[in-house]
Amino acid sequence: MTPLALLALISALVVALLWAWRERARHNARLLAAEADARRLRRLERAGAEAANLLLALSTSIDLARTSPEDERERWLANAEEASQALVGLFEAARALVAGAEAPERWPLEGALRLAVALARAEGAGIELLGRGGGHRLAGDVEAAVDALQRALLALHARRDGGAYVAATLEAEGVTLSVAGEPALDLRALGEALAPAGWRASAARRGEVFQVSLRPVHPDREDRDPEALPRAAPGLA
Amino acid sequence: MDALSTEDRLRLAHALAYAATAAAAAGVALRTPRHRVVAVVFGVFVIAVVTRLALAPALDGLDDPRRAAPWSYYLDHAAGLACPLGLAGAVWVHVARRSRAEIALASAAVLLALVAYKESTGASLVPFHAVVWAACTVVSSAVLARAALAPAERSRAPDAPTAVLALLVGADVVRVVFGADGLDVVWLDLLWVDLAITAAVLTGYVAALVAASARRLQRSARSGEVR
Repeated sequence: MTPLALLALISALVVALLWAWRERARHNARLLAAEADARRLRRLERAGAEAANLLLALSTSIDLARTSPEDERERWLANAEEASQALVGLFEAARALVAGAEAPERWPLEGALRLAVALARAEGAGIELLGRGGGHRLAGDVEAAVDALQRALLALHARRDGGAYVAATLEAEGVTLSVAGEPALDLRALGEALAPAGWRASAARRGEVFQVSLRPVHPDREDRDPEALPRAAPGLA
Repeated sequence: MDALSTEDRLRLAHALAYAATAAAAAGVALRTPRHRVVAVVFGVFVIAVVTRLALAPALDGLDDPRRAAPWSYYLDHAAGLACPLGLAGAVWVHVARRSRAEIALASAAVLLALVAYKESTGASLVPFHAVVWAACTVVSSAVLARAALAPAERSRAPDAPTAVLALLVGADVVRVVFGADGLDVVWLDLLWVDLAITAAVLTGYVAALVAASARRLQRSARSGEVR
């Protein structure tokens, strides 16, 4: 074999090895990104579960602060502020987690989560109203926290067992919200519109507080209509 | 030009091809800095070949060049070793992401060993060159293989400079394989091997430069239309 023939052979081999190397590196990168996203998702699921508990504590404290005598009001407000601070910290952590995600937009059921976000924003609006009315300003940037919650819920919603669940505290039944430039949203009408598509919306009044819950009728049902939210609230989906 | 031997003509062709490739790689490196390593490697090749061409007339006529012109003699051998050391250094720095200081120290150690070997034994340096060339090729191949087989967390796709370095290492494998049979027999053939691979790399860089110029022209034409 002449040197030039061997060179041709080795060059072809080098090119083939470089191609195999590139494919392997790309495959590894995809695997690592998927693993990293799965880790973030698990941490966000935990954060989401914790956020749900904190939201419940917050709304209960707000509720009790409104209905309690003056001498107990401060104590419930302090409780609410503590829960609010914990929520803000949790949301910021969730925001940092999701910021590094490879493709959060590919996570499914985004429409339902946007609804959950709207409900969370209602929660934020409730906090702010209470803060002004009671002469208190609860800690944290509600809007930033809600943005972070949007990301956290984006991961949380993927849980097949629970689906999206958020309890919203509003000032009164039938309140229509307009938050952060998004179109006005009638939560009750939206819940009713979503019910035929596999989601169950329920509402309950606790004192002056109105709570809306959204759960999948059958958590494991695969044929839940993902386009229901875009149809019911085009501005959110 | 008539005084030049066939080998010298081939070396001159090498110098021109290396210089053109270094210039083309430098042109690409203006836009994509990671291609600097290719420009540096071919720059080292140019310096080595030109140095050897410049020293050849003075050394060829001497009976004992080591005694008569020791600096020129060792500089000639150092230039001969600059090619394998430069390529191994480029692979070490670009692919293994190690420091330039390490390869500078290793090169200095090899050159000192060359002088010590010659001064102590007085033997021919041709086997020394073959050993260094083979060692550099083995090290470069090992570094490339290690990068290709790196664990998933550390694996990165090879970039264009890595591909060029791998092709050059492939050419050195040919040199080492045939060098083992005796350099004199296939020396001219090996020079053609170097020229062939350099021509391939030069073609790639010129094509990249032409493509970049065409894109620039298209962009300026589009912005002209907008205006």
